[in-house]
Amino acid sequence: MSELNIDSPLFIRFSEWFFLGYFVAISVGYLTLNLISVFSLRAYLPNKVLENIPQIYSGLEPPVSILVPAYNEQLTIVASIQSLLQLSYPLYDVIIVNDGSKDKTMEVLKENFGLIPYPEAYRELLKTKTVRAIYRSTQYSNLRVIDKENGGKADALNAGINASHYPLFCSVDADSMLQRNSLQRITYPFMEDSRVIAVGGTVRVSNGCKVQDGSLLEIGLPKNMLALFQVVEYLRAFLFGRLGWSVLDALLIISGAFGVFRKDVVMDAGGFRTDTVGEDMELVVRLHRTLRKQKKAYRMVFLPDPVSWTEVPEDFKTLKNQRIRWQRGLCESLFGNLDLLFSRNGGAAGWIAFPFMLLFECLGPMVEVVGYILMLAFCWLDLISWPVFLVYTFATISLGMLLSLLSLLLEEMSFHIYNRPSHVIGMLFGAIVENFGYRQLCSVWRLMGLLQWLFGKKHGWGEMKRKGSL
Amino acid sequence: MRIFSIFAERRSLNFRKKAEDWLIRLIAGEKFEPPKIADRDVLDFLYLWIHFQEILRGESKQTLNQALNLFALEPKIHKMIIRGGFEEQLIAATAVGRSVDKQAWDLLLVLLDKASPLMSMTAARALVLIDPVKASDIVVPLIIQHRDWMPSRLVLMLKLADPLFRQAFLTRLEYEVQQSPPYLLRLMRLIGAVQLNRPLPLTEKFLTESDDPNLVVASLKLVCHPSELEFVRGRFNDENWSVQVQIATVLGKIGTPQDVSHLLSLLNSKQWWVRYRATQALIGLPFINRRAINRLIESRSDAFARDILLQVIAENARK
Repeated sequence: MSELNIDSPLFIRFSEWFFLGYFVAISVGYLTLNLISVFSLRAYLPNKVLENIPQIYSGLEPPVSILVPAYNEQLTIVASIQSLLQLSYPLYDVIIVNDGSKDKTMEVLKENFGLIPYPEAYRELLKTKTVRAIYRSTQYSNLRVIDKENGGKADALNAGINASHYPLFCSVDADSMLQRNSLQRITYPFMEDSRVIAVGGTVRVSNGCKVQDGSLLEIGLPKNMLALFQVVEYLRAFLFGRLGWSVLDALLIISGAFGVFRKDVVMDAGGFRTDTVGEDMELVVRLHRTLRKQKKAYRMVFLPDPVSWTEVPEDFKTLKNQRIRWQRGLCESLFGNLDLLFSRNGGAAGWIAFPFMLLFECLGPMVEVVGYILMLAFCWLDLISWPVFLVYTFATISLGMLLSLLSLLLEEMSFHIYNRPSHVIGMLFGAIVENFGYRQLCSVWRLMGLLQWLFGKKHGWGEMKRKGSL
Repeated sequence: MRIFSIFAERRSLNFRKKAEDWLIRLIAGEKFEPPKIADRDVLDFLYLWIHFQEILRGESKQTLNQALNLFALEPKIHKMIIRGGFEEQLIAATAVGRSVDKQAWDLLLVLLDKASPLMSMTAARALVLIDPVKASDIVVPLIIQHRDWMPSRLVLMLKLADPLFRQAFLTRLEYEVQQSPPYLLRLMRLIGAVQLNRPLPLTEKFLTESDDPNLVVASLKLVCHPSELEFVRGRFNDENWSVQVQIATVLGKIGTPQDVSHLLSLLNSKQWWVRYRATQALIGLPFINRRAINRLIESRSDAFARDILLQVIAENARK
């Protein structure tokens, strides 16, 4: 029994090798993803040359219903809808689903868009909470609002799917704003390949940008440090995380903030699950699982350039709640679809992405936090030397820094949306400083999310303190 | 890296401002001594020139074509096609196509063999613009071979091509489709882009034989003549909603009183899109008058059917 004590040499040796092995594996994994993304971007970018030239519509563009679930969004909803109504796309409609907001979301909508009750027959193909009324805008013929009882974001999206008319639907967060050409770009893969069932776009941080009436006037960086760190985080997550997985045909996440899906496929799969907080990821993983099981040919794609801008939390409490919710969503999505893991027809999704997500994204925070605690304890108890501890800390921090800097480099190689030298300096600063405290704090929050999932704590809509920057 | 790119962007912006002014003066018919354009500015100039080409129509477009000659850019553009980087080659190929530069023909043939689908397709499009008849022998087989060419860009190329080229393409495609290649669906969709409003034997073949809903939809999109209606009616029992949508659309164009009962049955579909197209078809039929529609609304017990009828009537009234 004495060998199991914290001071037993076997335990110390095991811990050292375990954390070292884990660290090497995670580094190799992320750097490989990064490398794949670099090559993918190199192949993708030349195709954009002709996009700078005005193009007429080909007539192949599939009609799209944009679904915007909204809960207590009175501050941002008007700007968000205005940006959606300005999109350049031949045929689309916008469906706002007010999920029983307690604030004045509904009043604001009525006032700004001239809503009138529209006695439309509504077919409940996906079961949802009661729909109270459907409204139509007197100012914009392609805008409808569904007012329903509170049932969560997934329930609101399902109601939106029920009311949608077109074969594709695009989910957009109520605090997000799409770039004018985003819808045109994100539907491109559907025109090119009939196997495509879902496409995800990039989400970027709108804090610090100048926005007026739903239009992005000037791109900028936020002054708030938390928001600045998230700018770098979003770049890392989207530019090389998802792009890399997309190339491998193993994309497990399409952000609910901006993703387009084929309606029939989602309906066949039963729509969004209402008992999870990560309904977007859960749907994507479930689609992989069911379609692979049915041996159907399909593709889910991520595109780096159709952009949606979203407001991120600037205070610790909201950010903490968001990260806890995301981590719970991740756990629910993976463990709810465990059949995909190493399944016979699992492909890259089941054999590479799923185990990677499970090991490094789902359990990663636990290993990281336990690692820090153990190393500190070993060091404190003089069980390992300070240099060993410092090497461990230095290695983890430099990996984080390397990944952040690589994503900045990718951004610089490709889109350089943040175009002032002060932006580059600001992002470099963010990429370095986030590794000293912020990243570790996020790991702790994610660990809390993991524990909450383990102990089955309930979680509703992620409420966010809004600045109304949109 | 960023500092260099900022300087380059600024310079490019300044040059474009000047070039825009030259082009506007030229289109307005003003006579002036054209300034010499430095090699490094040619790409920026061409971007602007193509932009103008896209937005202008008629005589101004002709004047714009002369601009390349006036600014002595043709040799530079040819050099770009031969020795330029990817972006330069692509833009230069686009420009020679728009300016119908016959001298660039052989240079474009070289680009046709490039590995990049975008490059080969841009070269093909330029060839079609320069000489549609001559290009048809070269480009039509390539459209069939190159399954990596983007359908949306191909459709645009075909829609904007000379009718002679479209006819040549259609003839070849009809032959290809008869061989039932594995990429049949792609070809059928392309036929839709060049359809010359005449019945095609292949629509009968697929409407009567195929089980693939995508292929049936593509075939239905090609139906344009009353003689093909019997094949459409043969698909009335198809349960696929996208097929039903297309049937409703076809009946809206060429349906007869005999088809009204089927359109009425489609009003009860669970799919909004089917109900919508069926209603549009019904209301648009020349032998259905307003009174008949009102009777139809009153007789409908299904709220969904009534709703969609009212919606389409309201939409039509707004037009």
